Amino acid sequence: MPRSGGGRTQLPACPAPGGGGPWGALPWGGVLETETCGGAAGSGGAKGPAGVAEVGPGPPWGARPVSCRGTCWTSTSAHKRFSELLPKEERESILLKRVPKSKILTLPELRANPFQDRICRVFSTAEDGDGSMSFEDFLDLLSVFSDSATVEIKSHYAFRIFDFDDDGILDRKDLEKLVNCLTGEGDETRLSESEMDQLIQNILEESDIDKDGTINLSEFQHVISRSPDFASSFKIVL
Amino acid sequence: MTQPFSFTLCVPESRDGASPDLSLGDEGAMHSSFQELLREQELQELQELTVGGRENLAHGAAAAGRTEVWEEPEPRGEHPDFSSATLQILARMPSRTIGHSRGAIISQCYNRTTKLRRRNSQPPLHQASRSARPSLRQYDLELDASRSEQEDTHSLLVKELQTLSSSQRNHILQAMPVSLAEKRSLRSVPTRDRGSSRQELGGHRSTLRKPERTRWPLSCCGQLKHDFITGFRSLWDGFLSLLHSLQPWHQSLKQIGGRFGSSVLSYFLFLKTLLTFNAFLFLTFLIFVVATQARYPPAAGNSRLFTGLELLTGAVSTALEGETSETHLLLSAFPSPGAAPTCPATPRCSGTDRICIPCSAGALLPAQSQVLQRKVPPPCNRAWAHRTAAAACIGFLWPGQGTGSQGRAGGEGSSTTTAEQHPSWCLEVEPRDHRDVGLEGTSRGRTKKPETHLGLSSLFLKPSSDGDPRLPWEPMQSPPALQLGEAVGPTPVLSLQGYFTQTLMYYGYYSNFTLNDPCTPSCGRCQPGKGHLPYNMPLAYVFTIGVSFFSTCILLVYSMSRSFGESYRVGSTSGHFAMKVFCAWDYKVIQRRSVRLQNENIRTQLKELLGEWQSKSRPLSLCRRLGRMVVLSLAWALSLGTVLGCVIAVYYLSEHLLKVHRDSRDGGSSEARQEAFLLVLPMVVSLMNLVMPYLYNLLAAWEKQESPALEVYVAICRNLILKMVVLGLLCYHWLSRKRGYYLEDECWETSVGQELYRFVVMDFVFTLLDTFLGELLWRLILEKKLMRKQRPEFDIARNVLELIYGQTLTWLGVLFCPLLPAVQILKLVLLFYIKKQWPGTPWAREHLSCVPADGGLLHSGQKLVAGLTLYLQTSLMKNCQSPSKPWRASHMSTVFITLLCFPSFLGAAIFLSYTIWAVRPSKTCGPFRMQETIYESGKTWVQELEKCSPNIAWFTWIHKHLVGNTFFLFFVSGVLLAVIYLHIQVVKGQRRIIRLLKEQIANEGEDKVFLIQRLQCIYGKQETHPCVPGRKELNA
Repeated sequence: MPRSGGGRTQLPACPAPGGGGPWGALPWGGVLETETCGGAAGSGGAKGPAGVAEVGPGPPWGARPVSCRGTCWTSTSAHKRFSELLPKEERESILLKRVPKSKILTLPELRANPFQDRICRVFSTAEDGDGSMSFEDFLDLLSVFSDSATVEIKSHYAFRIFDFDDDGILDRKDLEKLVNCLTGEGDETRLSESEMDQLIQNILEESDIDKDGTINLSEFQHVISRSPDFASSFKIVL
Repeated sequence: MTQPFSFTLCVPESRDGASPDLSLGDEGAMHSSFQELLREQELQELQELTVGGRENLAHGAAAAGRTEVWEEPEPRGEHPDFSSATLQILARMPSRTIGHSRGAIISQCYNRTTKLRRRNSQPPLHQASRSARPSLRQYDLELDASRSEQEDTHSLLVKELQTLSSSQRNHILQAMPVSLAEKRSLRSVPTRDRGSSRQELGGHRSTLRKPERTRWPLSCCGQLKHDFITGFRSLWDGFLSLLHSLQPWHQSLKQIGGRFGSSVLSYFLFLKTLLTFNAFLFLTFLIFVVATQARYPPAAGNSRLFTGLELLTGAVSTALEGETSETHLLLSAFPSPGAAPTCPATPRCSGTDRICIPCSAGALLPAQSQVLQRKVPPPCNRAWAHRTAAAACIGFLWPGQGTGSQGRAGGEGSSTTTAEQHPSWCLEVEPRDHRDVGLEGTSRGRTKKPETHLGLSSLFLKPSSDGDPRLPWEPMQSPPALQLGEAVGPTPVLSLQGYFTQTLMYYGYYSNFTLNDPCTPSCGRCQPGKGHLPYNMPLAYVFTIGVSFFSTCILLVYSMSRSFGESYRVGSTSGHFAMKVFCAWDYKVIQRRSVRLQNENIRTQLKELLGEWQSKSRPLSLCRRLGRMVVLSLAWALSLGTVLGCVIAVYYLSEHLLKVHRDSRDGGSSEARQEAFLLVLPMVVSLMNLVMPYLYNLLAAWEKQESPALEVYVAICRNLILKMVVLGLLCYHWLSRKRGYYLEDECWETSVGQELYRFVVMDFVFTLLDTFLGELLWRLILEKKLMRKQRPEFDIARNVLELIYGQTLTWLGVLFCPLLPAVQILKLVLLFYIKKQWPGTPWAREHLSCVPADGGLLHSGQKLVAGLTLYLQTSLMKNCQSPSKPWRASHMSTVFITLLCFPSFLGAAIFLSYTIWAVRPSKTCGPFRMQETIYESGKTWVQELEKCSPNIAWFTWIHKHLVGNTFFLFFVSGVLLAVIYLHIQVVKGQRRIIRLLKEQIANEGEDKVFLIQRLQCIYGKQETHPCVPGRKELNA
């Protein structure tokens, strides 16, 4: 997300006209509205995404271009970037489509990131866990990596990203994978066996407060809270 | 045998029995549905636990059918010998589920919400927050197993949310780490489920909107309201996005971050911060001082001027009384006494409409003038200029008024003219500033040349050899300020300086007028009915300085405290490894090459950390420690010695230069030489600042500090000592030259301003040189001599220190050169673009590699261009490497902002305060020419205010009793000290609490281990594993 001057960053208030994208949401602001906007008058209910239909499939209250004309021109990179990932014919119904992981990973912001798989996995709401992302998931991702997300949220997601086996704790295996990601996966770039052992031992000594041999979320957040750089480095700028 | 069994029974009971007793009462008090759910849950839990089969649990988990729910755990590395049932239970521990299960997150949020609500609405009688947490935890842990039950928590949370105010609700939703869809469903449920409570939800716009939508056609008023709200919101959004688009350098900063990571980015962000400070300073000065002065150029003198003049000359006071502002002054000088009297005091002297009065007397008359443009060979004037000026007198022009005015002037002049001082040269000068009339300083007989430091706009000469008074006056070809001025540099940039001498750039140009002055100076004849506020230039000047420095101080202290708050945590001393591993990755870095570099850097840093840790564990031998001490003390002695040497060199050089300058000025040496002399000092100082850091780098390479962070700090410390000591010496020099070396009538403020300007420009030039060539040299040394492959890294510490140095110069100079911040802004912007050039390098390299070596069909021109670009860019950007040092960006930026605040800003503020309070401003120029000190002007103003308007006596009272009273100052500083002491004590207490809490956590951890072992005993018995009793158990 672009850096914001104030506390709140404005994400795409609504997509380009005609997209029928019913989005006036600040994902991290918790201001989650299901307002429709865009010129899709009369078809808002039908065309709208599942979320909206679920909330109120009532009258087509999307016919209100006035409510978003001002915000439409502010709608920025996120929507554009996401719709670029979709094939042309699917861009109309951006909120219904999921972009496969392989496509998501072509984004320059994620392309070289060693945690790209984990990021996709954590933010994807796909049932089968294939890492494909909807526009909502994409917004989620951006909001967590934005300036205005709190350190708590950031550290929560960082924990989930580092938790490679999704078991809710960072154990030795997770830490080893994490260190390998950091130093590069190649054989020549890895740390040696003894170094790795020593390193993990030290990490556990420092952060495993309750001495159960693993690092849970609160211990992780405790470590993070002492590192002021985390909030600024756990950030992706679109 | 009995013991484990008793535990088997105990485990469920302790969980079921204890917690409902504690919690159900108050839970039930809140909502009955929750109580029911909890009971259900307890039953289920009881069943599960008493059966205790892992199949059941696994089945339950599988039934959930959700990806997020806990799956069958693989055996853990840390508890390899635990039975799977134990592992199941371990996996369900709250501390573990919270990390990955949505249900757990929701329930945690629910807990927070309930706590919040109870705190808000209920008396703390129930002790709810204590008991709600564990019971709910257990409750929804099991909820993970089933979707329907999870929905119940969900609705519970929603209900909780409904009872909160909208801002609290938003806050909670914001802090929830769940997906967008989840948040939306949390928000949308209230409106669906509880139509009646919509109004209570009211405040927020989405809930405002929804009821409207359902009965949209009905409520016209509501629609209006809605339209108004949405319109306002869209306006606000537009405003926000406009603000966002106004953010400068967003893309560049992203590029830099993507290429070099946070640490280099911190340099550019610091640069941006400095830019903001300078912009603020510049704008304040522009609005309150510069613009006003430009609107009323000093030629437009007024009564103020004449009071000053009257005070100074004393000759023509009556003639000037009551004259209005259209006055141009002409100064005539008759330098060679003893020559033929060719320039009498009569109008005859001037060819057209000019009066020339011989200098022995001096006279003042208001006039308007037009400068003649005729040519004269320049050498003759220079000869005069460097010789002597026996005396000076002042005349006025009265264009268009013909003989009448001339007669008047003549009358004045003739009354005071004596015939014995007639020059061989007759100089008539039109100064652009009325302060030039303050010629009283150039008392007769002293050998000096008034016009050189008066910034004369034109100089008229008449060779006296022919002795014919009717000869026409010949104007000089160029303004004498440029020809005779203090310093006209050899380079075009610097030669501007001479041109600037008499502009808004410098202190000397500013006048001491008062706009809309309702009072005469004595305040005897106040005209309160005038309706305009008077604008007193000296006051504006001093207040602008004061206010801008004060606000800069507040801004600095604020940002310093904020950055301290961010980077400094109480009790955070250890944990380097964990922090390094968890926080090392910079997600902003997006280029593949940079990612590889970052990988490498992290690897080296980890290895360094490990090595350090290992070396710490083995203490050094005494001999080596001694050797280390010797090396360290030698290095420090060497660095301090060089600092001392530099300072002494600068001191003697400056003294010597001043002497040489004066001699050459008096001796009539060429201007180019004089100007070159003026440039020597800034060049030497800048050269020192350029070379010494490299020397310190060498020293650091020699002494090999054990930790890289320490190395950085030592380098910063040494550079800072050098820069600050040299600057302090220069400040002393500037203030002292005013006393000893500068002529009384000379505008020393302007020359200090010029000096500072030269320093700023030279600093920039040398920074550029350093960027273009110096680092290239360093790289060659590294590559050729030391056989190291890598390029030098971007030395953030040195670069930031250079920025701080430049900023100090600006703050020092702002009093003497109000437009110096503008120069600094320009410099910073240029620096930004030059330094950020690096990202271009890969382009050129790719381009070059694309072009085949044999040339062939591809034109070799392309290759040449690419090669040239590559050369240029690599010479620009040899720093392609991001720093490999463990660079804690926020920590360092705290250090930098502290350095900016402490030695830099504080030093500049002290210098300026001393100047304002204690140093006598020059009498011939500037807004404070009549005051003893600059501070005096404020004081006189307060006194006048007291006299003029008694109804704001409180203000003068405040001034007298609070500002002027030392007791008050002592009192304030005493209070400040007390507050600081209080805070220190608070921090001390916090540390103690942290220590206690840590002990407690460690105890809890041991308890946990103990319980896990007991658990393992129980289930291990079932699975016929042997039970190994824990240490605790043995103790018991």
